[in-house]
Amino acid sequence: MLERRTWKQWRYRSAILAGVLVFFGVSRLIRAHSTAPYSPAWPMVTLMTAATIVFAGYTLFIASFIWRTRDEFEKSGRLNSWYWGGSFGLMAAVAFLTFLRFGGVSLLAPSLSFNSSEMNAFAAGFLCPIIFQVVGFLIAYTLWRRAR
Amino acid sequence: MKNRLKVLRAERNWSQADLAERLDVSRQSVNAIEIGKYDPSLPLAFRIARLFGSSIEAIFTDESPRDDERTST
Repeated sequence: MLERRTWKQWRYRSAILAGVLVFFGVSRLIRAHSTAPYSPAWPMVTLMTAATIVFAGYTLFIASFIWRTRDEFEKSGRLNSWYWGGSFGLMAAVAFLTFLRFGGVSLLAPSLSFNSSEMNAFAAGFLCPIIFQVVGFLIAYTLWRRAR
Repeated sequence: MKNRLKVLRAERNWSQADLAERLDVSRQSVNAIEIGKYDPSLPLAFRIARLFGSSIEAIFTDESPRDDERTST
């Protein structure tokens, strides 16, 4: 039988899933109502960014409830996994990017054109989450240090 | 760190799930503590001691060398 905390966690996960569905619905609606669906026209960019911020905030808000349902054993496991798994993932991603950047995968179209703007765009897109993760870690670590 | 959690639990005829509910932790936590894979925090250790009407030292035994033993070598 599932523990009470496990039920709670699944309820919160369902709430996040519902949020994902709503977000996709809203983003489709925004794109459908914009005159040029994929152009960087400011109303669409603004609406999509606002919708994403609301979705990200909602997800983090629900995630905070999931975190509270966890006991110290689960929390320590997750903290350890995020630290070591995250660090390993970051380093692996940098190595993988280097491999791609220097034409390691010849089938990948952007890699074929070495100094192309496509490759630069690809690299920027690839690095974006890594940079944000590192910045997020630094902010969280600074706050943690200041609180002690 | 060694502990007598399994013995104390068995004396009371509690399952891991029973103990977990009384301590407000998951059954996995109780199991991990019992087999020595996880050392509980001080607040949880106090909760365990209170539940069994005992002291922390009577339940948990530190296996690492004592400070005076470490410095004497």
